[in-house]
Amino acid sequence: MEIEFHVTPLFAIARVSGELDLSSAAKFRGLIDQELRKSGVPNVVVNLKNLSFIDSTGLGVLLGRHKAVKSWGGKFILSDVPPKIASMLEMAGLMRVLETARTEQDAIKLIESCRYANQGEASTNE
Amino acid sequence: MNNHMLIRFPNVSSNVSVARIAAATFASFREFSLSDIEEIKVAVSEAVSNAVLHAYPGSSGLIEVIVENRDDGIQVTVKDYGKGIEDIDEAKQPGFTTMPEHMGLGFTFMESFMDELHVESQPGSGTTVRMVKKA
Repeated sequence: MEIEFHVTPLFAIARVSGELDLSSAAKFRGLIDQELRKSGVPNVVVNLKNLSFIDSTGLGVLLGRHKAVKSWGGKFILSDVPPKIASMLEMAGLMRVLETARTEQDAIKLIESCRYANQGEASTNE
Repeated sequence: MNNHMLIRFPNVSSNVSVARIAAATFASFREFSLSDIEEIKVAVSEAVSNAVLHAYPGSSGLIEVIVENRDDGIQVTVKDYGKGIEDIDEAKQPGFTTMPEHMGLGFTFMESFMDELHVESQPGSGTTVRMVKKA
């Protein structure tokens, strides 16, 4: 399992390739947490286009990162989810919990629209 | 076709992928669809992950995976000689887990993706998970 990061001031994109299971879960958790700590960005898009395998351990580590990002009010979005990975998410009941977007661009739009909505709310409150 | 395979390895997490790839390669010689093979991979991954995570807490031990041809498909047996499961029914409940950031869905996936699942365990002697997938 490998992750390629693309980081902007508003979000980090993590492009994951390979297999997410017991042997790679700790590496996945470590790389994502390290990148978020280093960059300080609040939102994450995890692009799963090149993820070829996931099992319940891999699903658990995705859910764990979702909870971590949510805890500081950020958005955690899965994009480009291949059909067989989507069916695993569905079976685990995670499609109702995790936010997904068809493409990276769709995920970025969701994050930007959320930022503008929050800014609008802030200016209304002023 | 009388064929079988036995692999034995220590409880090291990288062996999870070795076991599922070996089982999937064995299964690919039978009349399984690609989707069936993916399901076998997940089921084997779950059974071997359970053994790696739970069988030998804080120590090392051996895990065996046996894949056998049957007339109607294949049988996969994952066996350890570790601490065993006290309450199998409880362990099989969806969402039951003793570890943080784990889903507790291992047995649920094994049951969903295979046609038969049999679990035998003796506390102190080990656990045997036997699964059948029909082609």
